[in-house]
Amino acid sequence: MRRVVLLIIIALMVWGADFDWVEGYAKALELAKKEHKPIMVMISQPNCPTCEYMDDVAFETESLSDYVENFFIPLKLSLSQARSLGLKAYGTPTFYFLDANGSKITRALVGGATAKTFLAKLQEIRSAYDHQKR
Amino acid sequence: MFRFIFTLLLGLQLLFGFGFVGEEGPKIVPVQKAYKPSVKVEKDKLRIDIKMADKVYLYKKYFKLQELSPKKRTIDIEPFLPKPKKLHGEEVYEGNMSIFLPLKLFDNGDVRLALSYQGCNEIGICYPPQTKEFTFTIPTQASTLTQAGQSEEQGIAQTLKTESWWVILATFFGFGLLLSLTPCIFPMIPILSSLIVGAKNMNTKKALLYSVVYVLAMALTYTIAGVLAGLFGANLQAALQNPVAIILFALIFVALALSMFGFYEIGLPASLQTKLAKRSDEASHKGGLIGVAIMGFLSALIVGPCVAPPLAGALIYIGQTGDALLGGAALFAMSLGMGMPLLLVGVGAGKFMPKPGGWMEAVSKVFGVVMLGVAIWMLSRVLPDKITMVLWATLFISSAVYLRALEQIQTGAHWFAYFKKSLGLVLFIYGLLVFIGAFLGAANPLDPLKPLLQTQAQAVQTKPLFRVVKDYQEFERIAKNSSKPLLLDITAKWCASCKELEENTFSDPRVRQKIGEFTALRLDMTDNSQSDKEFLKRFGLFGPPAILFFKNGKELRDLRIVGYKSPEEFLRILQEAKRRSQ
Repeated sequence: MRRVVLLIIIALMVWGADFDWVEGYAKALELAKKEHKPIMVMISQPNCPTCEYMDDVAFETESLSDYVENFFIPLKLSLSQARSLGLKAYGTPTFYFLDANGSKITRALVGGATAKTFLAKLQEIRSAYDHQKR
Repeated sequence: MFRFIFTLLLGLQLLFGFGFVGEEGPKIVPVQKAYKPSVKVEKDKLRIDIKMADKVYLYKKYFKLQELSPKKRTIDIEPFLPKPKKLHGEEVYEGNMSIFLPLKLFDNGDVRLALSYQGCNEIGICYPPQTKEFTFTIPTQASTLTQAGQSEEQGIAQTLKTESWWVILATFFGFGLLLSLTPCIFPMIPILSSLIVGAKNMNTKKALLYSVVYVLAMALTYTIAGVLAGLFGANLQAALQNPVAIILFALIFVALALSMFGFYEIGLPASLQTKLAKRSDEASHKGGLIGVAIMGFLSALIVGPCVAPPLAGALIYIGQTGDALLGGAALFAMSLGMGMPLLLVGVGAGKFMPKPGGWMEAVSKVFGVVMLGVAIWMLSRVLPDKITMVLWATLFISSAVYLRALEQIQTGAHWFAYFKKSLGLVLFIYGLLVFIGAFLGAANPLDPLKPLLQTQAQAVQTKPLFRVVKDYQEFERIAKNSSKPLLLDITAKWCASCKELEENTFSDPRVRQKIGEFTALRLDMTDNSQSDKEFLKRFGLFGPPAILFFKNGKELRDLRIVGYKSPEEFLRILQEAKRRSQ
């Protein structure tokens, strides 16, 4: 019973607010170029409570997920994938923001944040990106 | 499911004051400072300490240990991890943790290890997986004594050091019971039975008394000989395995046999008898008991010089601690255990003894033959195989002759006459076979035609399995230059367990093949010479049989075999020795 209820809750959340992680770095660069959006890289690993919090709570919050959906290309990388791209991570989660050429636009964000804090940070980064482009 | 709930809870809990770290927030501890592992060798254990910073934890499931050299392999660390805590539904460690790993998990020498681990900081990040390398040396002392475990007899010596008296005595009594079913004890069965059959006015009570006296004498002798061996390292039993003692003992049996045949009666001299007791029948009774005690004493010394793990274990214990009391008590308990079947046999012999008369005479004569058999068996230790075989053949054939196997049965004879003749003929034919076997080169009177049954190929295969070494110097020279792993078998003609090993274990084709992968050496200490004794002393051995394994000239002490091992057990040890030598 509890399982069913939880499934319904998850289904509602998924239906209510969602964005899709892009498949692969190359695809992310391509989309970034086409849609003129910065890339949000999340470096994650299993058994990382903060990563799970970000995935299951923060990114399921409608205001934040809508914003990511509309203004960023979301890309999830494992630690080893990130290392091979020259993206260092102290730990997980670490967020990087890249332009369409793959260069960093800000310093990395280490750790997680509530949807509200994260959204504010994203807005800041997005405006810096727009400013830079102009 | 639960993880999801935990995450939710974590989220709610951290809703306030939760934010990015490293930038404006609290300073994040880098992974190098978060976990500080170090290793240390402590006695027989490797100790891994991991110092952890505040608010940092490690996952139990991500611990991984690899040996990089001398061998590359993964070591299962899981069973050695301490009890974890539960955090966010996961098993984790916080604060400082220590892991103790037995050194025997690793290979000897300089070891390089890689320890992998992964964990998180409660501040809100998880560290990337880390792998740290360590090197350390396993001290050879530890590797030979404690690290690699113990051989059977060392384990038994350990039992003596740690267990309580009652446990020790009961354990050794049990060992004795097990040993009683080996060739070390078998020869005593006909000896005791003959003594009982040969005595006058036997009844069940008296038979029990005889058996008890015999067993006690044997047990006491074993104990005293054992304690002396443990304290001084001198093997009294081996010392008595010289031709003079053996021939004397064999002569005693011949004399007993002749008295069984009715040629004369053995008793104590009349003067001694009167001294011992006033009444003459009491005197003969006591005299008989003294005779039995002497036979028990001699049997223990000469008949069964067997070194088995419990005996060696007790001797090691006495040698190491000087505690002759406990060691001796253990040996006594073991000897009593060994004597239990003898009691049964003795009582049985007394109970089913026929009344004096015709039958009794026949039974006495049968036992006379058995005594002669024991005498030949003793002599086989000092005589060449061929002569022993001829002696056996003579025994069988003359028994047949005495059974009138070669005489005609008169018509209308009792059925027993027919039976006797049939039995005699069987003995006669068997005697002939043994006689033929003697000249075919057979050594075992139970298998006289073995040389005929071997095909050409087998004959080639039976080239000597072992290379015989004379003394320690020769052994050392070969051991030094051997590229293959080395095996040393210590044997002697007078050692019953060695014979068992030879006939059951070393003749097994699988064992022969596996031994071929070793440089197999053999020390034959039949004459128990000075150099043989020194050889034994060097390895702290008390006598044959013993099989030792060597790697680069160093003994793999825990694999040492003392006493008999079946082909299967022996193969297992051979395989382990081979594996460890690579």
